[in-house]
Amino acid sequence: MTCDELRDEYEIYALGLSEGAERRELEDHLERSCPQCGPGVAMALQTVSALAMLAEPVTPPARLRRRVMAALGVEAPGQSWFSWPMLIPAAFAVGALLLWVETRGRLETAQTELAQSRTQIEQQAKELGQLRPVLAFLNQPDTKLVNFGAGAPAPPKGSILVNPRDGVLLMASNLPALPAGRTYQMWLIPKGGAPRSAGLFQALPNGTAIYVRPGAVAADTAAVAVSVEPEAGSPAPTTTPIFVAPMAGL
Amino acid sequence: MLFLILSAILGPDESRRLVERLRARDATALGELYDLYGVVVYSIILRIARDRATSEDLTQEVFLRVWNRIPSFDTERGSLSTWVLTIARHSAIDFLRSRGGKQARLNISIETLERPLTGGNAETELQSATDAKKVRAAMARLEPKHRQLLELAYFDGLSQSEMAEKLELPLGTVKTWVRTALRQLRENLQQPSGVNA
Repeated sequence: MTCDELRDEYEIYALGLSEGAERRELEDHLERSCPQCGPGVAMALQTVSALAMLAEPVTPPARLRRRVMAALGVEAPGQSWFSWPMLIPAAFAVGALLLWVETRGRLETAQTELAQSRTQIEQQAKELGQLRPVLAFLNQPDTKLVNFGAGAPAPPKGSILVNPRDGVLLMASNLPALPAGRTYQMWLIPKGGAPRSAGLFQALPNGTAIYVRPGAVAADTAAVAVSVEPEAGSPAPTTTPIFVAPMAGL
Repeated sequence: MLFLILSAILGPDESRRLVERLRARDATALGELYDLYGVVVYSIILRIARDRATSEDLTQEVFLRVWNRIPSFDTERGSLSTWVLTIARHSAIDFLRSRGGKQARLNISIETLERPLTGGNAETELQSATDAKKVRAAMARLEPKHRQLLELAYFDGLSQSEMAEKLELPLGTVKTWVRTALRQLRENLQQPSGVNA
């Protein structure tokens, strides 16, 4: 088909409605970087994207921003004010504080405050250090995403990212409150085999959790599950898993 | 609220700089991206998925996808806003269809948006098209039957066959109406804003 014949197809394609021979023909043109169809489809995508403006604007909850940033390894949950660049002014602030206190003859107080600041910075650096592998993990091209719990009334739901070399990342919400002395335990379940422990984790008070189990994931892993176990963990699940997410071949 | 939607529009230079900073894994750029698009992404997803908890999950996924795919995105070849909005819509429609036990159907891939599609002024072109007031006015000028089809396709992810079945119309009629609706929408959006205001 010629570009002129395909012109009426641009917006149909952009809306996701194109099918059959017309769709294949148009994709051929796009693959060849067709100078007419490429810009035509780009404009059509913009026209179709304008339909998004028909959605009534709804402000998402403030926690969602923190959650997104935390999930991408940029911030720890609940610490939306912190970022790496802030370490530099923070360090200057600590130094300036010490100087000021020395000149005022309050060295002891300054040392106490400095120690507290250092502790805070070290703690933040430690937490960010823990999130670095998460970011690296998310950036791997062979990381696979599996969603679970979608559509069910009020169960745990979320996403699991699995990278065969780097490990498993769980992002979950609606986790049930734990009884005292209990924890969540993740399991990697091989096809036809016994579940293998993939570590213990806790959720935030709002029932959300982000947990990473670093390290290689066996190729025969058929599902990822989470159960509620005693605080020290169990060699095998002792309760019915709160969810089981089947995995496609790794 | 309107300003929140309109704030999702960037000029081409601003867009390019933001993408460069995202590629450089600048954490503050990610925050800016969320501040620009968080409301519109969440709003589209909520309109499609109709569930707040699910919409939060899917919004998180959208930004995760953008963050992971930004290295392959080229601002010279496509618009950041179109790309983000398309990813948001795809994620929500995929969810909707997986919940209904249907295969994901949208016949356009995110990768398509990363291929060379356009040159130059994508963001500027989008500015005139994404004024929410103008879009609503352009849609209001469509015949109700045409408007209904576009909303069913965009927000419900229905194919032309599914729309024909739902509305008890011949498939050929639906195809004709969809083409007419899209052509008229394009023409309406291209008119000066004063005409539609």
